[in-house]
Amino acid sequence: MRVDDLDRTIRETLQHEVAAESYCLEGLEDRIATEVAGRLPRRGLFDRLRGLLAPTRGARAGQLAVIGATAAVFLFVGWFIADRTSLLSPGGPGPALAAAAGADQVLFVMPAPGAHSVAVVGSFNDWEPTPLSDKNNDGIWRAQLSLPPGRYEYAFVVDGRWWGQDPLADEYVRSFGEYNSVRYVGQVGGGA
Amino acid sequence: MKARLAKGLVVVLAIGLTVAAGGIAQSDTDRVRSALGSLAVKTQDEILSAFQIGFSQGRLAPSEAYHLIDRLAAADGDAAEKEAILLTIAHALQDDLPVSLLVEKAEEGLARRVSLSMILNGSAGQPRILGLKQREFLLGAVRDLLFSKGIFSVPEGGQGEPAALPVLRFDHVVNAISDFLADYIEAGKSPLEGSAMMDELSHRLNNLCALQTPVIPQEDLQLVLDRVGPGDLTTIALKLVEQP
Repeated sequence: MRVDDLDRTIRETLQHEVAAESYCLEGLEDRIATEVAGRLPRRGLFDRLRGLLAPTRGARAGQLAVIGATAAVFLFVGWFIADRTSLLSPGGPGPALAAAAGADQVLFVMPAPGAHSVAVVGSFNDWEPTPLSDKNNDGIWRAQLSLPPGRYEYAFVVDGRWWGQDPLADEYVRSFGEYNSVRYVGQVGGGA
Repeated sequence: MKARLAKGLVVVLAIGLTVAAGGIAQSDTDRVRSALGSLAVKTQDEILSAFQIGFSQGRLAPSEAYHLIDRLAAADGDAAEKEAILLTIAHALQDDLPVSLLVEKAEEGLARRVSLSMILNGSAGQPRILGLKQREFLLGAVRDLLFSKGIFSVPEGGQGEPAALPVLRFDHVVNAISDFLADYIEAGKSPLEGSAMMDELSHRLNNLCALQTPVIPQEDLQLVLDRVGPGDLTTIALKLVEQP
């Protein structure tokens, strides 16, 4: 901001104070400072990057440090993401809980008053527990998961005990001598 | 002088980080080999080469393999039985079969803390429990049935025009029918009720076809319903229950 602009801003703010009959001097300095700050042009990302790359003598080491560290971080993050999601693998997605295109929101509900922990395990999460929550303490535990269309077997685990007969299931099957619930997610014309 | 020193340090740091990231991102085979090392399996090369086939065909994701091996390593039980579970999956891959159902059942069994012997061999008691060996048999029997019906291959004297499906689509059909037959038998229903079995299979396949992204496309569903009959299902189901 140029000096001329600063003067004009202060003048306009004072005029505004008078017009608003804010004769009280207390806090006037703060109000002007706030007004001036609000009119200062913000430094964009491009300007910041240009500043970093400016060929000043002392900044060269900093520039190289930033470029080198950024490259290393990108490499590491890229590897980490590829490794975790198996995006580079021909086997497709890993656990279906990973965000998937065309995924449906599926609500899992389990009434378990007094329970300490409730989770859902199934073919969509490699049978690893995904916790349900009872935020309003009404004994109804819920979790909403994003699942791609498909047929999934699952069961609830209430305080360590498996419960495979979900009233909201589409069907039930026996597995290892116990019940599993089944949901068809992404049915045309039907809910999940 | 100081600037040069700083520049040198930055270059060394960047190279070091890059090399470290590259080193960590070792190949899938190396990671599976390393995970198998924790199980001390004797048939590591056989399992590795079969899993590599699965990775390249898209029938087994490396993440699924690591997860199962890690879970086996953490489970209680005999190391030979852990190895037998992995070998069953490896043999299925070598036999050109889909393995997602086998991996899934092994994961479920381990999560339920079922004994390794039960996961592998099931139980002929009541209720009947199918282990990975019986499920591998089912996958092979259903695959052979489809072949005999001219689906995917061109057998001599096959019925109708041969229908060649892409491998993963064919796998979905094999999986769907095998999984249905396993559920049917585990539910304690009679393998002699061919018509009832066929009706239930049709219902299952229609459900899989009616999804927004169908697991079984309409044309594949129609192929199966046109060419597979109650007698075919009864034959496989009877052979399954006669399995040791």
